[in-house]
Formats: sequence, C-alpha cells, structure tokens
Amino acid sequence: MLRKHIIILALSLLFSFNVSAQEWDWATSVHYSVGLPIGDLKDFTDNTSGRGIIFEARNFRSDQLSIGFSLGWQVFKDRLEGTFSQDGQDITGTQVRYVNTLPIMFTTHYYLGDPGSVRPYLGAGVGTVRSLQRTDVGLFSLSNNNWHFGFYPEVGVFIPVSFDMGINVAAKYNYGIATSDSFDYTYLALSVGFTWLN
Amino acid sequence: MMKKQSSKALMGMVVAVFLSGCYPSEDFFVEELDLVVTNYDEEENYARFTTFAVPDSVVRIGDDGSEEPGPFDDLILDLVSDNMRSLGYVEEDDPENNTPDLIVLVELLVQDNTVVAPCWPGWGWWGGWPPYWGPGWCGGWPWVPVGSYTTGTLTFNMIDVNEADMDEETVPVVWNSIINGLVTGSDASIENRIRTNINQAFDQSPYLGR
Repeated sequence: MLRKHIIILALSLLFSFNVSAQEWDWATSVHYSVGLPIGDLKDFTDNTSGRGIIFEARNFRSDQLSIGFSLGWQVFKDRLEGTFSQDGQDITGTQVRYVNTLPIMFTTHYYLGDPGSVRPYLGAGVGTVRSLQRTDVGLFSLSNNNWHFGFYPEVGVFIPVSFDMGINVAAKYNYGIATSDSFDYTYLALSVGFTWLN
Repeated sequence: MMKKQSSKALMGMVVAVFLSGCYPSEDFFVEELDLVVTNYDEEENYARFTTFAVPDSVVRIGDDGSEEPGPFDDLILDLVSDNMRSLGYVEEDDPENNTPDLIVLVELLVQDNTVVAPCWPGWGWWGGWPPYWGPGWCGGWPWVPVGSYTTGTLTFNMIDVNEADMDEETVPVVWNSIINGLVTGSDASIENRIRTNINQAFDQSPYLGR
C-alpha cells in the first residue's frame, strides 16, 4: 500500500512539473511509430508495421495553438504464398510485398490544459504522401511509386518530464488518397516520442 | 558549422529514403524463388481440341544455344505429355503426317541478364514438322518474364495449329507457361522442382482439358 502511494506521489510530482514560467516557441519531436494498415493497404500488406519514425516541429502561436510540419516514414511488409490471378494470367510463387509511406504534412494542433501540465491535444495534418510500393515474386520485382494527396486527424498527449523536454504519445489516422495508379494508403500510426521545447 | 553539416546529413538521408525506400531483406529456400506463370485466352474453348503433339527435344535459346540434349529434357517432355494426356487430349504419334490440333513447344533459356517483356514471345511458322522457331507474334497480354537470367527459364507454348496463318507465318498461342527458378542444388533436387513446377502449371490451368 505504501509503495502504491509513493508511486502515485512520484507520478503526481512528475506530471505537475511546472514549466509554464517559460514561453516556449518551438516543440521538436522524434517519434517511434507502429503502423496498423487499413482498407486497401491492409489487403496488400496485412501485417502491423513496427518500422516507423516521425519527425515533427511545432511553432506555438498561443498557449493553445501551434502550427508546424510533420515528416513520417512507415514501412510495411508481408509475405504471401500461393497462386495469384488476374485477367488471363495465373502466377504461383512466393510474394514479398513492401510499402514505404512517407507522409509530409503541414500541421496544426489545439492543446487542452495549461502549459507545463499534462496536455492532451487534437491535431490535423494536410499535405502529400509519397508511396513506394514493391512486390518481389520469384526472382522478379515490380515497383509502383506514387505521390498522393494526404491528410490525417490526430489525438495525443504531451507529458512534460523536465524543464524543456517531454514525452509525446499520439495516434494519427493517415490517409493517402488513391491515384490512377494506386489504391488508398490508409493506416493508423500509434507513436511515442521525445519532444524538446525551445 | 556542425549544425549545418548535421542538417545536410539529415537532408541527404531524407532524399535517399524518398528515392529508394527501405525493403527489409527476406530469407528464401531455393524452391521458394521458383515461379510458375500461365497465360491463357479467356475466350478460348479448350475442350474443342482433340489431339496434341510435343516435339522430341527441348530447344535451347540464349547463350546456351547447344543442340545437345540436357539431363532433364526427357523428364520435361514426358511431364508435358503426361499432363496433356491426363487432361483428355490424345497424343498424335505421327505428327508429320497427321497434323495435331495442338502442339506444345518447349524451350529452355539460360542466360545472365534479366528482361521483362510486355508480352510473350510467339513463333514464326513454316508449317512443317518440327515447327520453326522465330520471332514474331505478340498478343498484347500482360507482362511476363521472358528474359535471360543466371537461372533457368522453361517455357511451354501451346499453339493452335489449325489457326496458323501461312501467309504471315504466325500461329496463335492459346496457352503459355513460364517456369523460372535458380539452377542450383543436386540433380535430385532440380528434378523434384521441375516435376513440381510443371505439374503446377497444369494444375493452375483448370480450363484446359476435354
């Protein structure tokens, strides 16, 4: 019981760390992200991706509002075996399917709570998604690379852990709209990262 | 100065990622790199054919243009004939005098380079027996690997002899199979893969047969 109280007290102290005396202009983050494919992307690569990273920079326009940009990179991979058919052609072999998605977004975020405290936030990004898709089958490779219009809504929480640093946990619903040559690239990115304030 | 160099390094990394992406490697057994492709005409009625013939040799093209039979030629030709017979087609024993409905041509390609063509190769035709090999017919079908490799590529082409165009010296290919893989391992292993893949080519073509 005593141990539980100590942990609660420690967490309370940690999360109440007051940095509100400082006016921060920028928050720069690096996230590790896990990608859960959705829709057409899930049909193509049905595996959760553990290979992801997100760089972000946010400029605070007020205590509640920031604008900035985000650069993400998520790599999906799946291995399939069997016969694949299309328009008068059947192919039997082992396929390895890769998708690299790189969302490049202008972002805006709205923060709840006070500066220096734990701050949940809502955000959105709009921009482009670069997709690099490759299918290896047997000894052959087929590539299909595209640029998509993209956007995402986002929810997250910033947890300050020191004077000018915090942990950022977020969920982004990335959406890259289909082009004439490719399907929608949609996935949920769950990320955790470090944020530096300056 | 240091900051500038770091920024340049970061930019370089970003550009590299955008150009090439990341493709984590995958381990394969040799047989997992085997590929069996079949092309067919969705409008064709394959039950209308009755007889067939298979030439008595595997034609080698590419750098290995040898006319000497290879160690697996008989196996390959027998497997093709066996599968055709299993489908209900009757093998014509005297194709020089009795023209069969179908001829299945077998070729082997062994080379070092890789080429992917937008259509599959056809054959010039001179109407006799055995059929003449030449460049030509291209049906506008989806891409298939037809090029040359450090691997082996077996190609079967089923031609509709009765629809041969003697003036243009072309014949329609009504079914085509391409089997590609690494030529490595023991003879027993290669033989097993040949057997598996040739049977697979016919198994994945349920529209064939009488």
